Amino acid sequence: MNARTDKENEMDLMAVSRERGVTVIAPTVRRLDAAVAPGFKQAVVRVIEGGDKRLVLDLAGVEFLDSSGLGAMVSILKALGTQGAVAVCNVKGAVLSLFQLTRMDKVFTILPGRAEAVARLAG
Amino acid sequence: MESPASPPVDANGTVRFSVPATLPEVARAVERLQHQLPRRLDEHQQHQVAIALAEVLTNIVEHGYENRGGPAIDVTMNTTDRWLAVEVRDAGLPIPMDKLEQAGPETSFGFDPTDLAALPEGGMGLGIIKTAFEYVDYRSQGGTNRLRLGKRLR
Repeated sequence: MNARTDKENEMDLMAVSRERGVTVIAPTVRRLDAAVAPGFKQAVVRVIEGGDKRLVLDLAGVEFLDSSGLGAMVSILKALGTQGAVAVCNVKGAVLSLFQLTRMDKVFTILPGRAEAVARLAG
Repeated sequence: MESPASPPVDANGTVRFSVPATLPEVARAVERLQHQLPRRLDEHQQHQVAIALAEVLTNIVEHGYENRGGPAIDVTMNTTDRWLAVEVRDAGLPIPMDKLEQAGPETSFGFDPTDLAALPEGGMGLGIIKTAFEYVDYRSQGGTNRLRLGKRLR
């Protein structure tokens, strides 16, 4: 029997930590695609609903992002609205190419590493 | 002369994939396809092609076959002097022609980056395909859909 809850399954998709009042969310999946994007979005929205309003999305472990994963990130941005802020870091390779292709690199604050991203939001 | 016509197809060196219609198989196929891309594409262009092909295949699984599975998706890839040509065939529900025609770099991604409410949360797949490939031709006939994509090689 699988007694795991949806919440436990969602949390498998990412690691959550807090530094200087900023919440760092690091997906633990290599591919943030259509197969996992809905669960990822739900899990992050839960974190936002829990009161975390300054989020760093650390994509260090993500090698491939598709439009579903990117759409989930846009939903996160909208869920925070003007009450919060998001910064994205460790964007590289095919993940960076998708941001550029869709011009979402103009929408998201993209910083090189986690330290810079946390510093920007802790400001 | 450059012409906007169909990328010429050369039978030599054709890469063929038969992709079972599930998301994990799509992920596996895209990773394999990435290794077969011509070296004349730079790294960013290779990523664009891989991203767009992932969108093509995911669309078929999620919308064409409505996540219920279906016959395997056939992918063939050819490289000629001037083109990378990809053909994808499936037997699912066709892409609505109006949606395919409307999608593109300007219509799909011409949003105001500061207008949060106007940003797309979905429906970006066709825009990605039409931004990554210069040539897109789609036919649906007798229950078979055939998408032909061409990317110019330098």
